Amino acid sequence: MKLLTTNFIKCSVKACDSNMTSFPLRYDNQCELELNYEDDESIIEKSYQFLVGILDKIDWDALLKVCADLGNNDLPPNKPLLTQDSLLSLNDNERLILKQLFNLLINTEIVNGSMKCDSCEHVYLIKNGIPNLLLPPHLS
Amino acid sequence: MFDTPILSKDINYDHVYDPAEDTFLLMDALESEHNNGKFSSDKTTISLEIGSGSGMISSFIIKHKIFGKNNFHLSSDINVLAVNETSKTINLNEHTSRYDTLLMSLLSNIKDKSLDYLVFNPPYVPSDEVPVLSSQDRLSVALEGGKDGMEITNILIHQLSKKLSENGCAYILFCASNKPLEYKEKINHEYNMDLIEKRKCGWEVLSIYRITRK
Repeated sequence: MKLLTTNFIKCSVKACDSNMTSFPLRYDNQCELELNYEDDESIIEKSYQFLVGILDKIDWDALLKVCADLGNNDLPPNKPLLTQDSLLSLNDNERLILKQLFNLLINTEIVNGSMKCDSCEHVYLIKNGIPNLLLPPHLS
Repeated sequence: MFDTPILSKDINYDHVYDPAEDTFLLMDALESEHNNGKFSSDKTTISLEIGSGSGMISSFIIKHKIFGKNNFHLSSDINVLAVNETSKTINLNEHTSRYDTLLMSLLSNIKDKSLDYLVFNPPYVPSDEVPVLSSQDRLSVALEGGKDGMEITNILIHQLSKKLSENGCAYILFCASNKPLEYKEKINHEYNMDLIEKRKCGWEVLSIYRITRK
């Protein structure tokens, strides 16, 4: 499960639907991560447009929370301000931010572990990179 | 015409749906929408295929950048063997990390307003009841859709309006016994439902509709 995906997944228990604490899920700090970091700038550059668009879509506070759950407190507290226009003249710092985002969002994978809903406390498992979001019959 | 993705040789079709006419019709519909410029090529988009099975349609979407070059694609299935096959098939066809696979049922786990595109080849065959997934029988859930073959599609469409992004749309397959024209009237207050492709396949008449919020 990619880090990016955690930004789109919430608890599916009906009673949690209107509860704000059902998103994002709380990730266990023992989750096993796999980092497939890309260093080749030319590959990362091909994803700049994608990353700027993704920044626009993601809930930054949810990303900060999931990263903190997993032991990463290095993200800036506010969403980086990057637009498609800023891609025309990037400075070194902005290039670094895009590279970090690329590696964090789509090259960091939760391979094994679990995540819990803060509202109903249901625990979802992640095995071999696949999150199991199916509910047992009594909850579905 | 876009190539059909390749599948690994060792898929166990006793447990995972073997791509057939319905699969091909859905790929054809997506290709024609793509060629008609329905999908922005630059916009960053999130798509989801529910019930990805062998992974053929998801691989087609990823390989041919159907939803544009800045797409992140999710594939889900309720059958873990299908989820595994989907990842394998995607990796066989394209070197990318811009996708993910989930063991998930329909849309209740998806954050509201997230999806730009949804693709679903549902269990559409009418049956007395909706089957339950078991380790002995993983295939019936991919085929049988209860009354009029519409019970699962109907649940999905009820969830859809909350999950689609502002201009999001869904591509869903219907067979004639699903009575798509009657269904279109039934959901007319909330959704537009437009025919994209229709084909007679053996004894079935299959169609693909694009569904958007009004």
